[in-house]
Amino acid sequence: MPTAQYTALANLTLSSTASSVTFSSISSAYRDLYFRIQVGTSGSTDILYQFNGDTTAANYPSILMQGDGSSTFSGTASNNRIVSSSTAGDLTASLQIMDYSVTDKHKSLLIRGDTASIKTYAFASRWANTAAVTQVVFTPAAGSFAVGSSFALYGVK
Amino acid sequence: MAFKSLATSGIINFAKYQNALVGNAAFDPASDFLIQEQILASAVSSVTFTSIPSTYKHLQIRSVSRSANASTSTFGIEMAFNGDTSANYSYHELKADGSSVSSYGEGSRSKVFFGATVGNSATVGNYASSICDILDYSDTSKYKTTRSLAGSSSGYLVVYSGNWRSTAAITSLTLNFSSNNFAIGSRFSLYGSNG
Repeated sequence: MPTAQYTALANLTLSSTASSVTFSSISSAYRDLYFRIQVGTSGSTDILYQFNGDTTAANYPSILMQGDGSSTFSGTASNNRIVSSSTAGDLTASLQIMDYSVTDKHKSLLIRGDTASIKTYAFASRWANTAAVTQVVFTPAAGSFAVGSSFALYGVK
Repeated sequence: MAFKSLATSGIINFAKYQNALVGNAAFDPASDFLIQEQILASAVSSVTFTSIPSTYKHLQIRSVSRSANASTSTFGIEMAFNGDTSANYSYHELKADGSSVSSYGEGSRSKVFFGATVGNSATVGNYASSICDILDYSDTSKYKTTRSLAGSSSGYLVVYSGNWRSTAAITSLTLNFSSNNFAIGSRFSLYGSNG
């Protein structure tokens, strides 16, 4: 029997506003983790992610590429950021967390996202820690996630 | 499963259905499967996947890698199909290095770009990641197209599109880093997708 690539681990759609969304006790049985999110927020703000309670921005170096319909941009940052959501609820993003449970590597991420009313973008990011990822928390930098925001987590073999 | 006969004698509470799945969750078979995986126990100049079955619709390759190159830079990983290293490939890239976005392409190459790797002088633990989709890889009426997202937080982020001008079904693919070996611990996973 061939090994299925994707295993659905969690699927959450908010029925009330939330200041954060947490995925905890993540099994180490997979090769990568894959998040798909679609969110709106109470205001235009960045979406932040953190692993295992690490809120130190400097532990999340990244390179950004984005286009906003009239120009392109690339920058570096040391923060755990997925770019701006909006009240329109049109931020969709996918986060690939590679080798998330391997304990001799930092955790590299490939992120693709679109806020249709604002920009399209991608990140190459890294959590500078060799610990296995067991918890992921998404938080708006300001305000709260809107009702209907959805988060899906898959384990990738 | 085939049913020969059902008897209700001795059953106190029962209801009759014509659907054998009633009351049970529908089985939704997976559409994406792991085909092969290589995690390097020694440094190698290339990684090859062979005997790729034709039973899927698309392929995906995922990698987390470092090279043995004594550098902190990020480098491209090349890919060739079925041992073909003639000028039958073309590609384009959109690349961001943290200060600017650039674009480049070539119409006649001996390989296509698959992803990225980092040099061995990069911060310990820092690896580059790559995800590449190869669409309709076994369709013998089409040229083969690839698309990739790859990069490292210390080098660059890149989107690749590629094309192999052959209608042959892909039965093998080789990944290599032209300047040096892939380092120990690098991981390359090949998946087949039916969707």
